Amino acid sequence: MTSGLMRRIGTAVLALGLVAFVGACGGGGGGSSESGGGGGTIIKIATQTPLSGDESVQGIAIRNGAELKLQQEAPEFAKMGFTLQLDPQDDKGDPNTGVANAQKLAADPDVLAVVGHLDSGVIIPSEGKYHEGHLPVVSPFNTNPNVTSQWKYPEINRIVGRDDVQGPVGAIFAKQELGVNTVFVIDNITAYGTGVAEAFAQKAQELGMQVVGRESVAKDETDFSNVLNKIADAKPDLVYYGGLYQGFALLLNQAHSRGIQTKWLGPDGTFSKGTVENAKENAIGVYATSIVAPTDFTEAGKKFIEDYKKAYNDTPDPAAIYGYDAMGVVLEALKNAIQENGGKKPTREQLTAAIRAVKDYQGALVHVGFDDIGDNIYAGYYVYQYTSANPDTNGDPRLVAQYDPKGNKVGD
Amino acid sequence: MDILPQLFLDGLVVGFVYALIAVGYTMVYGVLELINFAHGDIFMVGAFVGTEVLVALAGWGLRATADPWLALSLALLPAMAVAAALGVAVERFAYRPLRRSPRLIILISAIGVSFIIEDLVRLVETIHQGKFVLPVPTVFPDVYHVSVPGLPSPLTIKANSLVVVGAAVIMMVVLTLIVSRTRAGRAMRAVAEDPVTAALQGVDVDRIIALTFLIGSAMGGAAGVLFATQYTTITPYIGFLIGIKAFTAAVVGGIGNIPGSFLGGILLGVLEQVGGGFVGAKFQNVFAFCVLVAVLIFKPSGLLGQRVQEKV
Amino acid sequence: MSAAGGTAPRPAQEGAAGRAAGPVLEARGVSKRFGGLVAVERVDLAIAPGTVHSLIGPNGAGKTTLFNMITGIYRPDEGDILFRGRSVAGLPPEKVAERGISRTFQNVRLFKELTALENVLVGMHLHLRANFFDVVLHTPRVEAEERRARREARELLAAVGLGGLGDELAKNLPYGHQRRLEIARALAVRPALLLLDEPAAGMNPRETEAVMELIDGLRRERGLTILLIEHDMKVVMGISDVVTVLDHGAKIAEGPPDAIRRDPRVIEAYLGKAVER
Repeated sequence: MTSGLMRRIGTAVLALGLVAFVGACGGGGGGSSESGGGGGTIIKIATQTPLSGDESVQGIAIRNGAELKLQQEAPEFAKMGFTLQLDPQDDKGDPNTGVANAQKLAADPDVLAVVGHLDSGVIIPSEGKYHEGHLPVVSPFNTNPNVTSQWKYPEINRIVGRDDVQGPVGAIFAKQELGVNTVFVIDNITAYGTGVAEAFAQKAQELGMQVVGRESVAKDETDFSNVLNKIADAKPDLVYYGGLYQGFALLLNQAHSRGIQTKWLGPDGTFSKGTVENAKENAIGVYATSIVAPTDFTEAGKKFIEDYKKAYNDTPDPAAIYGYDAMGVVLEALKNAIQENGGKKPTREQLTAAIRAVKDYQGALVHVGFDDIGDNIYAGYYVYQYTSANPDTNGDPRLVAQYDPKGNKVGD
Repeated sequence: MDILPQLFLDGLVVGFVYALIAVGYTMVYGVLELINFAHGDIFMVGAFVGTEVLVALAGWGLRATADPWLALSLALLPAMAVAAALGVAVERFAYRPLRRSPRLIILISAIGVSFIIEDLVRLVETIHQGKFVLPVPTVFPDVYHVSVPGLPSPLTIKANSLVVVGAAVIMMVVLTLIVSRTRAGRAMRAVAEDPVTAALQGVDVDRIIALTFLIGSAMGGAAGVLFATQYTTITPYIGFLIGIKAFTAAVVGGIGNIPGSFLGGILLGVLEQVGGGFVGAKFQNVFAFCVLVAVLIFKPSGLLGQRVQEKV
Repeated sequence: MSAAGGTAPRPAQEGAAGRAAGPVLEARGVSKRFGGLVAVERVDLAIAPGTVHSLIGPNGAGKTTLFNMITGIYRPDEGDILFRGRSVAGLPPEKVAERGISRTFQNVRLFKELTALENVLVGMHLHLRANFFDVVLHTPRVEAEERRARREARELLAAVGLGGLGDELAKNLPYGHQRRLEIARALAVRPALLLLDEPAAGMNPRETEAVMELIDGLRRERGLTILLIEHDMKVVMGISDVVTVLDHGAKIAEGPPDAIRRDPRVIEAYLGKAVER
């Protein structure tokens, strides 16, 4: 009896073990993240993004971008006597996991800073842990206003714009450039998606557009037929989707197969290779606002694309360069902090101060200067339109409009 | 509400998909009193196999739209076969060794299997395709607009929806015939009622259980393909939410009761869509589940469930 | 009953033919314990072919436990059980059934949601050879086999007196009919040895009479060997060739009914009480 029972428990434990094993294998994405030899003092910079699950296309891109930058800078730090290491964490796009990882990172004295996250819904609850651990964070991609505005922790910074500007920019664009009068607004019930969709809807009304429908579809849902029926009924000039590429592609495909004709606009979460990969032809002509300047804007940006292709044998997702530049900001500040500390490893508090003190950093793409709550005073907003169904070129996005940090149109 | 008939129609389509999956839950529960948590993932595997076939066909120059019936058949058969084999393997290696263990241990094993399948598919697809979110080639591209007298706007019906419903109905009829008319089906019902007595009549209970997994999983795999063609994009994680819904449908229909699971699935699909029309898509699940809970309060054994008997 | 030619006991299996004269079933020192409780203690039993052999004893004497060991529901802790000279101890129930042993239950255990005919057809399961793919493809072989099986099942129902009730759900049959249906289902296995657990329980004298007649007919016309648990002494004494008495898991007496009736140990352990009643 006993041995039988033990065997059964053994089987169950084995099954669970296997789960953990497979999870670990898949989740790591294989990353060999050590870099630069040398026996100097170890400094770890962590990344926290989804490396598994639906959102990992962008999550892995950010991790890779950060890794690339770290590897490029490692020799310089080696000269100063430091060994840089990347500590990539998988937050799975899940708040619980993100908070648990944040706690873990805060407890590791070698970790001096974090580049993360992808989801605003994950970084916001994690901020308390970072603050308690005095661990500075540079967010590559979180656009929800609350990321910096809710607690205003000195540790939290971001190099990208805010949804309370991005959403309105979308509305301004729709009104002024597309001449839209009626809009249908959908969000994916996340901090990010709902936030940006609300901001869009509010500005749309202010500008005199009519919001003919306001719906939410949870991000795990795969069936949009309910919402599509309402869209078919309301016949809006434009549909705005506050969410990520995954849901957006589903929406586009199902709308197309249902024969719905309208204009489509999404925020930066939809501005991804994933949208084109999954929606194919249905992505052509679709608009996206973004906090991402065209990567080939700058010489440094073009070089980044070359380097990235060489390192990962893949076209970088637009998110990748933000991981790269976020890491750049961290390492720039780290250099300053080391200098100020007389060449010794700085404390987290010193690095926190040094990061916030960054006023004029020119990354490969992003121009960064932090204000008193960690927002980037140079953050720009861009509107793109996909012109092809080729995922390898991210749908050949065409820049159709550009806005400054206040939401005023640039150029003409 | 003008779009009510349209919502009802779309609800029927998704309801038939739920029903096909719910059958798998209900059959396994019938013979083992086990909630096969991995069933949603078997459905997902079916979706991936079918999609891979469609993608491969396109690669060989046969676009699915050129000969949709052939393409669908070529996608369905391997998807059903792989799903069936997977279902049988799951039963053999994850459930059978634990059959005499406390229910909770089997349940944990089932959840473990579910994770393993999801991550394996993700791994395989990442290696094979370089991504694990797969767009599904269109099979039946036509969209019909049907004017119905008395309705303000024409109904939109996708050809693919008709195929989904048609295929689901055919499979349900075949399943019902197998269960009600054949020796294997008889043995299945006997095992569901009383496995010990069935064994004493010479019925090999293990084989019947394996057969139950085989049939249920094959139907789940087919549902996966139909789902993929209907909803256009699949990920290794689609099985979870849909699995939960199908399981709920099975419970509402009366778990263990096959016609009940059909009814439950269709009811859930319609409630979800029509309910979403009234309360907004955000709350469509909440609405549907509230109604279902209400059903269970008034009829705890489910709509068609009647057997509330002790197993000795 | 004459029509039921197809359900005659199967020919003895390889090697067993030579031992036709030996016992059909033999238990050798069989014991079963549940925790500290001894249910059956070193019981020997030998059942001659073509006999009706009764097991009697007070409640809890271990009769049903012995049945469960013979039919593969329990594995004996000690000892061996031989059927036609081959061990069946520890075989799973379906294998035991395949060897040619079937049974009924003290509390009727029919498939209640199946029709009477279907119950019998489940009993015939072993003898239907069509496999899954035949069934799915619905080959002529399946058709023919299924037709034959249904005819045979109807004959069996008729044989136990349930002719014409084949399409009733088992749960809707009256109690006496359910008992008969259980016997028909057991016969469908085509056993050489039939185990009946209290076939007359809960029956009125007229029904009891009919069951006795049925059992007697099974032996005479089908050449079945029957092992019977029964509390009704009128049945036991009326149709048994040999009676074995169990008490507290142990065999305390064995012999023809007349001898058992007079055995002082039996009277003390069992019959005494019965007589008082």
